[in-house]
Amino acid sequence: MCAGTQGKVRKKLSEKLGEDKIGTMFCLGHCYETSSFHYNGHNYSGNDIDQIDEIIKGKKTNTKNINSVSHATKSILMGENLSTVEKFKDLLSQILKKDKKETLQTITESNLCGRGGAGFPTGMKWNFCSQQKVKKKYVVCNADEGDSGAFSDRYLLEDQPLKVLFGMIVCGYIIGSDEGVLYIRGEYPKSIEIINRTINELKKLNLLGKDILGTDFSYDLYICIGQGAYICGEETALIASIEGRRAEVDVRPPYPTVEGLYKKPTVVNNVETLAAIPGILKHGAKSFSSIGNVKSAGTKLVCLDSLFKNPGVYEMDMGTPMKKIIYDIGGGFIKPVKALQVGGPLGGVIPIKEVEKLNLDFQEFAKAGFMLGHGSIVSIPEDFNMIKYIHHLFKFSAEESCGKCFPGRLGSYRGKEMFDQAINKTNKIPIKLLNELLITMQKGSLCALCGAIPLPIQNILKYFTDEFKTDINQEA
Amino acid sequence: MSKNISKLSGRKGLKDNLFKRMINTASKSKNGKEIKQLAEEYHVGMSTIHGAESFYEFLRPEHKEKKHGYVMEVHVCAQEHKVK
Repeated sequence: MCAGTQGKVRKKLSEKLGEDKIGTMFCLGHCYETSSFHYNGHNYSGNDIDQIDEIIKGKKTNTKNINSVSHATKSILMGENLSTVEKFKDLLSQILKKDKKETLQTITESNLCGRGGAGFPTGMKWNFCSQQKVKKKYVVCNADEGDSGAFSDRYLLEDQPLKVLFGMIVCGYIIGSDEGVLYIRGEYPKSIEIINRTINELKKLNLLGKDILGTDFSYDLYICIGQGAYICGEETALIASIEGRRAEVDVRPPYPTVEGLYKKPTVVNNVETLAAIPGILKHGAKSFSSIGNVKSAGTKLVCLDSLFKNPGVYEMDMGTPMKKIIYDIGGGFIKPVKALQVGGPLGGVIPIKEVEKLNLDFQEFAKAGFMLGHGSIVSIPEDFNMIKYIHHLFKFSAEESCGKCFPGRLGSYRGKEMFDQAINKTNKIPIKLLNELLITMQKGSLCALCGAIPLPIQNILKYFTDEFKTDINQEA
Repeated sequence: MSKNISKLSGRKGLKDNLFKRMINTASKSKNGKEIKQLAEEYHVGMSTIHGAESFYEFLRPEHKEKKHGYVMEVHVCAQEHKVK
């Protein structure tokens, strides 16, 4: 129910289709304009619901494009690099003539770190995989962007597909792989269509397939469509899903670079990470590494939601003050906001006064007790009840947990129950028990879903307890 | 167990991907016949296919057969709470 608009959307759809015909889907990646819904294989948002009669008759509405602007010193992700297949061909033929080690060195020296949230150095990951003495290897593009407030991967898949595919091909070339797969969430039908079309175009031009550009390098790409499981954003769950298993998280090590898809060495990279590759290779490692600092280098996409005056996706230099992003780029808010949740539901909940002190930097966020994650920003209005927000977070992890580990499976439900009772006024929040539960989940969960959900809850307990101190039982 | 299933699935690999086949089967299947065939073809147990199918929201029969329009799931998006 985007920005409180979903009630209206549901009502209108129910009137036209019948209440029993209305289902629910996960985030459709339209957080910049809200009122989103999915009908007959297409996504709609904004004022589209007012044209529901025409949509049912088969008319395609002109859903607004994502507002996207680069404010980076040198645009890597949004620029004109690779905007045509001719440019794609030129750059690829240059790379295929170069020594693989030289290309890998460039990626390593750029200090590019994974943009999915974990921040692992990309060059190091590719190097680990390239060292595996196995004939069959895979490249997986993680396009299962499910974080609320995030639509940067959707932007790249739909507006910059050549950059993403180029990154996959180069990765395949370096590690010695001949097949790759894009795992794209089913909630993004347009992304699937565009990527599929682009792959077919590249195949026709011998930029994909057998003996690319007359070399002995062959590479094929496939698409795997996600079926509505948030946990598939976690790499081992994603691999399980492609294999046709339940998307349950696996214990690591072994890491996917050693034992990944079909138990073969696999590089799993996020969409944004792969899309940065052509820009780095074209402009050189230094053009990327000189922005920001060593561990948070280059440019990063940041998504601003519909409570900003200028919602959209923006390319920013790492190290940019958050104050600039919020007020100069985002234009401030359309109504009073008390906190931002940065990095999806697992990211930190940061009071406005605290976020204004930070820069766009993975380490700086972590040091302050938050998480930059994927760089999506969801605004929490001044008048919103934080007990309900914590309840929402526990409910989210309870619904989306894969159920494999006890702290995740049971902890999420026990937390949700505590806040069910607090909202219903049947019991106060047992604060000691809650803190123990959060630590157990943090330390004992198998993956970042249930292991990181305590972070925003702890942030709220630290900064906003005054709002609900009468609802807390200090003794229990 | 999962290591074995991974390797069995990997025999056909991405070209004839098991997950893709499951998606196709789930959209057509009115009885267990197709699932049995799929299990035999990939040399995995029927329970493996059933278990996986039941995990994914879009593969569940109630999602496929009853629903036409979809609104965003309440629990996923924090933004639902913005305006009371």
